[in-house]
Amino acid sequence: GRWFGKHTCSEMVYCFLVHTVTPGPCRLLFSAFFGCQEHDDSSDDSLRAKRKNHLAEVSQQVQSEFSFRSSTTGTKYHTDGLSEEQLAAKEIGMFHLPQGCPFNDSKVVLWLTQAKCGYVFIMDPDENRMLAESILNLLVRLVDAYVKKQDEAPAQMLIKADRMAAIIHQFLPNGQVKDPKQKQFRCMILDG
Amino acid sequence: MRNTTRKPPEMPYRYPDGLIEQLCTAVFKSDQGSPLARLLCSTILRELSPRPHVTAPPFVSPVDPKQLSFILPLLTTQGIKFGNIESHIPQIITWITQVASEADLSLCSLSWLAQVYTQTPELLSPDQYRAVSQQMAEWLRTANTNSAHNPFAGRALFSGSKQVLPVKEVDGTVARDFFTVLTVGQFFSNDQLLNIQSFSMLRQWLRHGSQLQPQRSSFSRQASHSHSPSPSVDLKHSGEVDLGGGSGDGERLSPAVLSVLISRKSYQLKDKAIEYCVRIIDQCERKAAKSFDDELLQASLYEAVLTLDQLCSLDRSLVPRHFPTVKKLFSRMSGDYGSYLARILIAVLQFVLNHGEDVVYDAQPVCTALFSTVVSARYADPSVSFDIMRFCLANASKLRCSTRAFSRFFPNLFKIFAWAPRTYLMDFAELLPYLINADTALEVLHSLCDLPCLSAALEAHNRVNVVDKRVADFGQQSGIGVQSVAAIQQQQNKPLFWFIMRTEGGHGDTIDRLGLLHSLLEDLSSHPRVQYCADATPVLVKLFFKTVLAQGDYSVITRVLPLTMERLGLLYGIPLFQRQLRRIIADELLLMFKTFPSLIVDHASDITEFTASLRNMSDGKEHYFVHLIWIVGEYTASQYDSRCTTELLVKYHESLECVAYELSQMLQLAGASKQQGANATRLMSVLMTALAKVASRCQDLIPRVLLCLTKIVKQHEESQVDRASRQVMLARASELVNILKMPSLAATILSAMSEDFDTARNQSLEKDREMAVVLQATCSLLQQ
Repeated sequence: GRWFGKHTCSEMVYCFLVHTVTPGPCRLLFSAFFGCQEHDDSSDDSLRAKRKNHLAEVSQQVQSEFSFRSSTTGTKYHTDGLSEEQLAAKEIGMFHLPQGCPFNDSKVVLWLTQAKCGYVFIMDPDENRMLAESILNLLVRLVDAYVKKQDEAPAQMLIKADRMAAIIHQFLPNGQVKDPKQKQFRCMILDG
Repeated sequence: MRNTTRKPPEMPYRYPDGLIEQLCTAVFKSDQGSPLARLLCSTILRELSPRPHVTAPPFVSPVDPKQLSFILPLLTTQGIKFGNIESHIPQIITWITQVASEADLSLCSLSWLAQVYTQTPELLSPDQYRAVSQQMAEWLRTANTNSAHNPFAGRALFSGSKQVLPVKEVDGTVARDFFTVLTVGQFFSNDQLLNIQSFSMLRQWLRHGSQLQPQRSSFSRQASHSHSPSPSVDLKHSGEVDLGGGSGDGERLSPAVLSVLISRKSYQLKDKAIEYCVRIIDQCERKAAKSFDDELLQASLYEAVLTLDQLCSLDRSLVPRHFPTVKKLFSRMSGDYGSYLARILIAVLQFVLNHGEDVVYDAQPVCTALFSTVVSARYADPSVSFDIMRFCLANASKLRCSTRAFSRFFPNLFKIFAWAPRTYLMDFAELLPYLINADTALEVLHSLCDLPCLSAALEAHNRVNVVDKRVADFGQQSGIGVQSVAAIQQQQNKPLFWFIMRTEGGHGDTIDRLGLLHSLLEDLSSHPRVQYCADATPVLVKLFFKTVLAQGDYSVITRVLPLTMERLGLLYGIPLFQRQLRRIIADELLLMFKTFPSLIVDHASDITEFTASLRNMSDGKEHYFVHLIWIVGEYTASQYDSRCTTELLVKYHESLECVAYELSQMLQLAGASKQQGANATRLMSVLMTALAKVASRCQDLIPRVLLCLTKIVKQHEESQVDRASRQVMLARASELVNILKMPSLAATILSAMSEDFDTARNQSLEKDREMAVVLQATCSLLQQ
């Protein structure tokens, strides 16, 4: 639809991740890093584990923020049999990660929750957050269209990770949003 | 508050042999297989990055843009070490700068280069940077102003009817000026896409823009900019470029780059960027015809203001000419600040703060618009409040020194914390010291003590004048806070609520009927927001005292002391909160006197009045009371303040003696609980020690004190107090009696006994070895 066409501005994102927002352990469903990672001399596997730990920390914090927010707005996803309206209820928020906690540089976390999942951008503090918000909203709509319906379990995201990767590749290739030529995109997803 | 998570186990994956190689082949070499499959290979390799032996071979034309789009992100996640990024840069730049490049290649390359440059600017040489900048400038200025043809349409049935439509502004009128991101068209041509891409990356690209030089001709002698850290390329004559000469940078100049530098008309990126930003700000005066365009409009306006700010910071000579643009934007915005406009206002204020001094512009109206109007309306909006906090922290020193924003509007800022205490505790901890000065300190402390109350008031306010609808509805459903909501609507309570939710400080530190306000809002004390606020507030209160003591302004501390006495009994009704705050205040009391012992003289009447009544010891205020008594004993000495005259000592003695007798009577009564008994005996011990200390400095008082101590001992030989506490108390009493029998030594001994309150709390003398030695020596002397 036409609502894709306008999002042609670029926004550079350090990391995009998706995690569960239901009570209990917070589970990472998808993640994509952009750009040169912070290297150290540790082995590949421990570097990967370290990265995953960082993301786990961030998603826990998002979960915590969401939990506070939902205690005041009543938004909740944790029961079954929720109505469409309840699942579709969005919460959006942001917080700051100081230097070293856990990334080398200070970052801003922009999060959006809907239908039991949290969608998170981790970006530099001076990126255009207004744009980032609208892009994140767009991504969530795309997820709903191509990856997982709102009433499906979050674990679907694990199964359809290829579609998630395709969305990211098309719409956020270097951490930047491109003009989506939707027909090409649909072709890629359906033929692949 | 945190959910636990299982940490991912250490993952010693063992990959099947040859898997990595096959993935690499799929990504780097193959052009077969479905795009989705190749994308997956690329994604998997990215997950495993950084990894040795995963390198892209040099690109060989013709290169499929799609394949490039799989390879480039992998290079960046591989990093500089393994991704071999540096070697690919020249080719990338060629694709950007060569006219004949396929547009998709250019787009892909440009966005990738932007990211790489942002993270590691040193990878580009100044000439490469300039070449790309010139290309970007060209795209910014000369993109097509006609709408592109529909790329999805098949061959036109009637080939004659190819209509060329001009692009439009957001309000539907035909665009008369150059193409920008806000220009509307059905489909975008490639140069238009490159225009948009260039604008999007502009700010980051310019960040290290000290390499941008105003060029007098196609290229000029490189004068090294005062900020540029990188070595300059030596251009020998104004018409030639030193190609050989062994200059490392010269080797990197590919033919394409050279052609850009030599042959094309030289566009200054800086100039084109400014024109672009000014045009965007202009375009935003129009009202968007379609609502989804409004989002883009606001985001672009925001970006344009930030970019303009960046450009002016790089070149201050631009400020006088372009400041009016921003000024005009501000006057256009005045009035109702919606969520988007509020955030743009922050960018405007940033610009004004950075550059206003150059044009002698008073930032106060813009400050007021933000800190008063916007904060009052939008404190509950997560995006706006976050932007405001970031802004405050980034500009804290400047706001504090050059404007009155903090000293006037700190009560308003506290609303942001009170509404979202979880999110902003760390930020407020960082901001708080900037809010405190000699004028605001008292009011700030009052405000801090009332933060949970503010939280409750805002919650009640929201139910009536809806600021956040979902919160209001949910609150209504929950049934919590019905009385508060009723109270806030009653006419006679309006002044109370007006006070707690005031926008500006400086109109009175607190109100008389604060206690009433607390009780009106009591039913909201179980609300999660209020609870969280109450949990978080003690941190800030502690920080307040730390700041104020560090600032070391006696005129502030001397007013804080009576405030602490006042607030001790006047705290919002959450028991844990009250306990914590009272404990903090009690502990800080010790530090205050330690830093400023003169307080003992200046506040003699306040202290004697407070300590005269044992009522001030009840309801959780024991710690404060005990500390105060100890302080009296400790600091009424001329070594701390020469004004500790006999008269003063006598005054304090009388006060202490009264309390001692009263307490003694109280202890004799049956029915005191074990805890109360323990508190009271502790107080008694401290009292007796304090009496002894005062007497040791004014020896005329010794007989009276001895009498007092002896009486107390007699009264308690058989009192109702439990045995252990009683014994300790009596032991202390007899020690003191013995010490006072040696008047000349008493002062020394007693001052040595308690360097700080923690030692004094230790009622066993054995632990003080020094003292034991002195006493032993004294006793042996006396026995001789």
